[in-house]
Amino acid sequence: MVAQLLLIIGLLVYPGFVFSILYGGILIWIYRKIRARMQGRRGPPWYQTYADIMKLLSKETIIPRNAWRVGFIGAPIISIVSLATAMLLIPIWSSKPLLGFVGDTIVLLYLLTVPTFAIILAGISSNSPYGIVGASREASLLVWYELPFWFSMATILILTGTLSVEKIVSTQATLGPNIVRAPLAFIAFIIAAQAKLAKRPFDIPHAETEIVAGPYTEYSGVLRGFFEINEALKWLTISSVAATFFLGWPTTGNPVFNALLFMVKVALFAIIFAVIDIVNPRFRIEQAHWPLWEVALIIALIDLVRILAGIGV
Amino acid sequence: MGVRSRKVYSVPVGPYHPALEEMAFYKVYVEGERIVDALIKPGFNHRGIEKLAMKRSYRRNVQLFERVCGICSAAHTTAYCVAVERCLKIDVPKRAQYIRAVQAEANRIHSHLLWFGVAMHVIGFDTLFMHSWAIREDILDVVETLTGNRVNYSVNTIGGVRRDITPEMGKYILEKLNKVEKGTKYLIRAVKEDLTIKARTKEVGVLTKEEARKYCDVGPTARASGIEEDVRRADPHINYEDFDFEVCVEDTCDVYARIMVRLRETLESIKIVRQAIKNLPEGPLMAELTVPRPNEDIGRTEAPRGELIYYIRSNYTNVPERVKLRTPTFVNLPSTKPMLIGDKLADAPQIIVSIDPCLSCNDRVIIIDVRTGKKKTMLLDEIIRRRGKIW
Repeated sequence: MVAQLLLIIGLLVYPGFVFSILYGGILIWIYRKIRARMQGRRGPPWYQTYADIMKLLSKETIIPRNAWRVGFIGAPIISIVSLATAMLLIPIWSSKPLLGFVGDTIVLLYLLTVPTFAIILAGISSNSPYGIVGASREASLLVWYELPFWFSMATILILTGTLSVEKIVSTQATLGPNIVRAPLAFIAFIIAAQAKLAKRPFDIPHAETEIVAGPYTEYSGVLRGFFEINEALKWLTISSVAATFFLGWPTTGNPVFNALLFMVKVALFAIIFAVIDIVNPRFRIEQAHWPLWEVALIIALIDLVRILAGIGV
Repeated sequence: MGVRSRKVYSVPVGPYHPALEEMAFYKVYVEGERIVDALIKPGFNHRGIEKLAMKRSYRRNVQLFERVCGICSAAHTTAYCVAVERCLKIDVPKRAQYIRAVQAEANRIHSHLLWFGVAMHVIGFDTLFMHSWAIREDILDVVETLTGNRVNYSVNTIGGVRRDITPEMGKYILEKLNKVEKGTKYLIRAVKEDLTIKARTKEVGVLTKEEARKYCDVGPTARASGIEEDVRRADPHINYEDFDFEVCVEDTCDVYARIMVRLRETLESIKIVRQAIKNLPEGPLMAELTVPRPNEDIGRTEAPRGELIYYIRSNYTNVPERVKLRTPTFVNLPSTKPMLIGDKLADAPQIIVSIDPCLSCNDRVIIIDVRTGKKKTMLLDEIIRRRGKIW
C-alpha cells in the first residue's frame, strides 16, 4: 500500500509531474537568460516560463473547424504524459530510479521518441498549410536524428554491458563517467539531442520566419500552454538522459546531495544545448542531413566499433 | 493550400507573415519544396501621399515626404529638395550640401545595419541580428546628435539645411563612427567565416547580370549582380564628386553577394562621413529662395535601397503642380520572381528580404469595381486621367 502511495506521489509530485514542470521551467529560463546575455539583452525574470504557462492556461482555446479534434487535443497530452513518465525511469536521489526494472533503458528511449510523433500528429491534424509543412519537416528530421541518437545509446549499453539504468549509473560510479570512456558517442548524442530538442541549427520544423510556428501554428490557449509545458519537460528529460548516461559519476551517499548534484548536472547539459542554439543560424531541411548523418552517425559508429573491438575500453 | 495542377501547390507568404515586416502578398507555387512560380501582389498600404503633396506648399511638403518611409527618410527629403531646387533654380551653399551628405550617409549606414539584422533573423541567426542592431544604436546616436531625432530628421529644407554641425559635434560623431566601423568589420568577418550562413545564402536567389538589366534593377540589388551603377557617381547631386569612395560591386549574384555589398557599402559610407566632417567648408546654411516660375525637373539620390527619383512641375504658385516619386522597391520588387524560381520554399523569405523591400514607399491605388467585383491596381496619374469616367 505504502509502495503504491509512494509511486503515485512519485508520478504526480517528485520526480514526476510537478517537479518536472518546475525544474523544466528553470531550464528554459536558463536558456533564455544566456541567450539574452550573449545577445546583449537583459533577459526575462526567473518566473517568466511559469507566467507564460499560467497566462496561456487561462486563455480561450480555439480549435479550427477543419481540424481533426481527437488528434488536435490528444497530441499535447500524449506528449506530456510520455515525458513525465520518462522522468520516473531516471535515477535522481540514488542510483535506483523510482520505476526501475531490467530493460528500462529501452522503454525510456521509446518514451523520448513519442513527443516527436505527437508533434507530427499535431501538425497534420491542425490541417493548416504551415502545420502540414512543419509536420513533414519534423518527420524527415526524425529519420536523421533518431539513428545517431540510438547508436550513441547502443554504445553506452554495450560499454556498460547492461540494459538497466540503475546498472549504467552504478558502473559509472566505479569505472568513471561514460563521457570520458566514450567521448565520440557523447558528441554524437549532443548533436542528435539538439535536433530532438528542435533547437538551432535544427529548429527547422517550427522555423518562424518560414512557416510561422509550424505544427503549433493553430494552437491557442490551454492546448498551447500544454505545448509550453511539453517544451519544459523536453529540456528536462533530454538533459537528464545526458546526465544519467554520460555523467552518472560523482554519487554521494546522501540522497539530498545526490539530488542537488543531479540538478546541477542537468543544468550543465542544458547550458551546452543553449550555447549551441545561440551561436548557430538555422539549416535548410536538406542541409540538416550533413551534421546528423555524415558527422554524428559516423562518429557514433566509430565509437561503437571501437568498443565492440575492445580497444581502449 | 490551393491546388493549381496535380503536383503544384501554392503556399501563401504574407501579407501578414513573420518574415515580412511590411505587407506584400506572395503566392509561391511549389512542387515539393521547389518553387516553380511566384505571384507578387503589393498594394496593402496606399496612403495617397502624391495627391496630398499637390495641396501643400513646397516647404511643408518636406515634412510630408520625410514620412514616405521611416527608414530612408533622409534620402526622400534630399531627393525632394534637390528636385525643387533644380526646378526653382536655387543654388545651395556648399556647407549645406556637406551636411546633407553626412546625414544621408548616416541614414544609409543605419538602414544597411537594420537590413542586415533582419536578413540574419530570417535565416534564424538571432544572435547576429541583435549584435548588428546594437551597432546600429551607435549610428542612431550620431543621427540624434546631428538632428535631434532618430527617425524623421527634419534637417533638409528647400535651399539648404536647418541645423549646423559644430566642431564638438564633429568630434563626437567621429568617435562614434570608430565604434560603428569596428562593429561592421566584425560583422563582415562573422559572415565570411560562418559556414552555416554561407550554406544558407550562397547560390540562393540568383539574379544574373542579364536578368538584372532586363528588370532594370537599381541600388545594392543591381550592384550585387555585377552592374556598376550608383547615382552618387552618375549624378553627384549633393557634392558627392568631392568625396573619395568606392562603388561596391559583387559578381556572385546571390543573397550572399547582396549581404556583402551592403556591409562593404556601410564602410564606404563611414569613409564619406569622415571626409565630409573633416573638410566641412565655411559658409551659410541657407540659400536665397527664388520665386516659382513654370518649370519641371527631377531630383535623384542613391537611397539605401537604390535610385530614388522625384519629379516636380512648378507653376506661379507656392504649391507644386505635380509631384511624382519613384521608389527603388517599385523597380526591384518584380525581380524577386526570377530569384525565387528554382529555389527551395525555405529560402523564399530570405530571397524576398534580400532586395530590402520597403513596401510602404511603394504602394499604389487599387480600384475595385463594385458591380463586377473586379480589382485593378493602378498608378495615380492613370486615375487622374480617368477621373471623369470613374468618379
